[in-house]
Amino acid sequence: MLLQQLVNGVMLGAVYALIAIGYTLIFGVLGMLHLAHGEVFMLGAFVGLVVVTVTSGNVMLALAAAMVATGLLGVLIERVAFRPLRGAHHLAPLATTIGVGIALQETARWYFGPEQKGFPATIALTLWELGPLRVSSVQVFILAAALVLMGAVSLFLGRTRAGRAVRATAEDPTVAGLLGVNVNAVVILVFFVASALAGAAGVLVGLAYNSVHPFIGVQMGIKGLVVMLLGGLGNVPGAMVGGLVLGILEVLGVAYFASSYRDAFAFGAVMLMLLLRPEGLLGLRLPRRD
Amino acid sequence: MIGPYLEDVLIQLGINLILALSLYFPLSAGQLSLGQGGFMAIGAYVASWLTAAVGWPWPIAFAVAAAAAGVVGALVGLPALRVRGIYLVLMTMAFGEIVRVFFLNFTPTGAAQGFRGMPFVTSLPLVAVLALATAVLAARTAGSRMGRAFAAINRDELAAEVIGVDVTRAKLASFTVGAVVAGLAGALWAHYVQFIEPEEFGFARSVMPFTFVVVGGIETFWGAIVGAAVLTLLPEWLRFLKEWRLALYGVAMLAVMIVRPQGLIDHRLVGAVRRWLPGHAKEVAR
Amino acid sequence: MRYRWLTVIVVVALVMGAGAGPAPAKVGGKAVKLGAIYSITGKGAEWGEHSKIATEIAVEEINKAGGVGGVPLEVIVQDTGTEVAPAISLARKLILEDKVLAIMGPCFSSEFEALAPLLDRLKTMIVSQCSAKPGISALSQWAFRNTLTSDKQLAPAVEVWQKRYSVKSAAIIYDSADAVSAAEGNAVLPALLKKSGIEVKESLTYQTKDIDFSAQITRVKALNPDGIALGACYQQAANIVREARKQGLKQPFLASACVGSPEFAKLVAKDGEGSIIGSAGWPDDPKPKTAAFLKKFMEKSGGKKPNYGGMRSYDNIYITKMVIETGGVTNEPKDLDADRDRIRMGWTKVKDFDGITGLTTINPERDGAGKATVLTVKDGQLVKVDY
Repeated sequence: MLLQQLVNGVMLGAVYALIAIGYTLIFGVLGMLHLAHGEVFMLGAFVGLVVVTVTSGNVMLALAAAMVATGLLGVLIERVAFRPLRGAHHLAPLATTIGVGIALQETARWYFGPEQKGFPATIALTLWELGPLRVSSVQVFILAAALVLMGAVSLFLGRTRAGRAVRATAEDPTVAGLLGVNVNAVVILVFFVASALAGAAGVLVGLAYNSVHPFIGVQMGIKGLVVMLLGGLGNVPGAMVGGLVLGILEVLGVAYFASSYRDAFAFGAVMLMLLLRPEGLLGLRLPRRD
Repeated sequence: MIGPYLEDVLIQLGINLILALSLYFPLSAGQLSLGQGGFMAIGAYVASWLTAAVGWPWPIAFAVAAAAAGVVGALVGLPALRVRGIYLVLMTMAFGEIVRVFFLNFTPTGAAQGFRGMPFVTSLPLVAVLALATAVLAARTAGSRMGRAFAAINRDELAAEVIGVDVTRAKLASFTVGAVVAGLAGALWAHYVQFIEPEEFGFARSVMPFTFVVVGGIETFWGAIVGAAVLTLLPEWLRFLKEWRLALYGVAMLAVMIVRPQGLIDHRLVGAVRRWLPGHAKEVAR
Repeated sequence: MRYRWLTVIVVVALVMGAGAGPAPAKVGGKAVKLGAIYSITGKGAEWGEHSKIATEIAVEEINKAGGVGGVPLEVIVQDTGTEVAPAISLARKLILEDKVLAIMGPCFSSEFEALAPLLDRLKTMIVSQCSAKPGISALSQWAFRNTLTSDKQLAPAVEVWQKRYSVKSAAIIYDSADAVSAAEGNAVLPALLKKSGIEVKESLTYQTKDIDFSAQITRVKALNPDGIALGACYQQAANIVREARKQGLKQPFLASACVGSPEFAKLVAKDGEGSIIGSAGWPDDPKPKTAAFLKKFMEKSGGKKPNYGGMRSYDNIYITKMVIETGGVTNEPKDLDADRDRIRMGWTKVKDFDGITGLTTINPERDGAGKATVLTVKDGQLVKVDY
């Protein structure tokens, strides 16, 4: 049973990680929190739902479509809610993104309706039993997709020129600019990538759970923030590890403690982390952004 | 005299104003708290339990509730001293959530079922007086030594320490006062709706004073007041838009921040208004 | 002899007059105004939206047929955003400024509870179409609910469930963060299950916003009960059912009206086949009145089927119409207080009103009473179970 719980936790954690990577990328490059990131995730789920319904089950297409759509949405949000505020007080984007989040929620509610929806049951599901474990094809797909995406992001950041430009900007935008990096372009790229990952997470959540509705972004957003913190602000591998940690902890917490206190434990852990190890689990020190 | 609906809206505005000012105190010392909902919850539940279950008269209940929130504020303020910026935001968020979960499970005050039985206390005159008192407190603080200490810390904490500001005391004080005021707002709220449940005081509630202050203007306490007023009244004015109301509200917030990132009220505006008022011309000469 | 025809006329007139019964007080005024506070936006949007559409349908029909006592009906609908404070200020506005005779709604138990003390001061009644938390109508003599509380929804459902599936042991999974679900999980279900001789193996909880239930289901798997009882709303129930089937559990499910939304049947499809739900209305009821309503609702809503909140708000408008017409309401401004009290009195007397949700009666606690509708999921639809 413990093994099954771990598998459950890893799957959940992979989704959290995808969302947290987006948060941490944006924080790394801009030093700001994107409080509408959860709504980007939510819209990704809806785009995926529409595509899957229209194409009678083409999940890969849904993923691609959702990632492109949310990537573009992210770029739009950057233009509208972040760019005009460069140089302003660092709290201002918190307010603009809250406004954007509300507007996106309400638009989704108007267009799709407030009812909860699930991906159609036309998606084939096979169950495999590996000893005491029960794993579904959907779960495997989700884990695989998440790992592929995370791997792609790591490669991108570590091995490509654009990725280096992103890392340079994250360390110090001024110096990066002086050294010839087109900081604006980097920011746009980061928003695209971060939002596309959130969109992908949305499709995966839609696949795994019957839970697509205009307000799923709120809770996911908060979880993403917690994971970002666990992994260290601005730390991409940290976000991946943090996601897995939170997913496993949540599942184990529910299994062995009362779920009613679970959130309190999680946030208590957050407070402790902040006091004792603010640089996150992986301990990579990053320039402090106040 | 005033229509009953307007009266309700004004009472809610008054409570929001007090809540906004509760954030202003720590913010003026550079500490952004997204956990005011937690202090509000403590104030609400303590005051309600005292009036409903124990039967104390409301003035004493309110005072005790605000004090209780203040004590917790000081307790949270201590670890908060060690973190700054985004980290403090996240820590206060975590605190707010912990309080919510606590009351969600605390059966003597109803847990998830909520708590009722409080008398109706929060009339418009009462709220107006308390809101005014809080605003005056904010104004006096801004001009006081403590207020200048806050401002110094806000600008540059290290420099403030160097010039002799007792940073620890100031930060702790600003945090505690913010908690006390939020607790008062909670007590008022509870005795207005006469039924409270933990969900009322979650993250959304903590975000409210933050949006009031940021949209209204973070530079002066007037920003908190104006922000609370505008953002409380806006959804009511927009009621004719029916189901587009909330969407427009979000867009409006966005628009204001883009056009005026420092918020509606800033130092320049306050200064300009002061100069325009008769009797203040002398100050300009200084 | 000369006056015989006169006598005939007089006799005929008297007979006709007598046969017609006591004439109700004439409803006057330009329009009969009712208020409605629904949660049309915010997290409760689907309940408020369905209530609003159903109310509009009722108003259109009534006005086409001549109105209330011949006077056009106007229902002023306001949106609470699923928040408690707007519920209070909107109720006051409707009562004191718009001078409505009665208020339909609110849907949510927390909004309802917050309004109760206000009603005693303002002396106008509210009637909720969805609130299911037991006991809160007792808070004010002006607080009514035309819906069944959880215990009444679940009582027949538990029996049906127990008999149909020979359930001798059960696990309970409930939402400990939601007032109604927590009451079901903590109090209502354990009591009812015990009464039916079902052993409760364990009670597991979750929080409203959860989407992952793998931990809870894994635990239930280890317990191996005969059935799984839920204190939940359909959004989470759909995921719980799906997770259970994914992990290989075949137990039948039991739940209350918040799960009995047409959306649930759509979401769970085969996985939820055979689930037993104690509800307060069956949207697919072939009864002519209900079928006609369903057709209009689907047209107006863009193809959606109504949840029981929508269905009940339709009935509530009609019941209020009946109460006004037979209760001596004059709808004159000077009689406002008296009229509001007459409507209240009328509602306390509602018995066996034949609406689209079945026969409605209001019991002495001002809650809906009457036969609960037990539903089951069959082929992705909600189907009524006779008992």
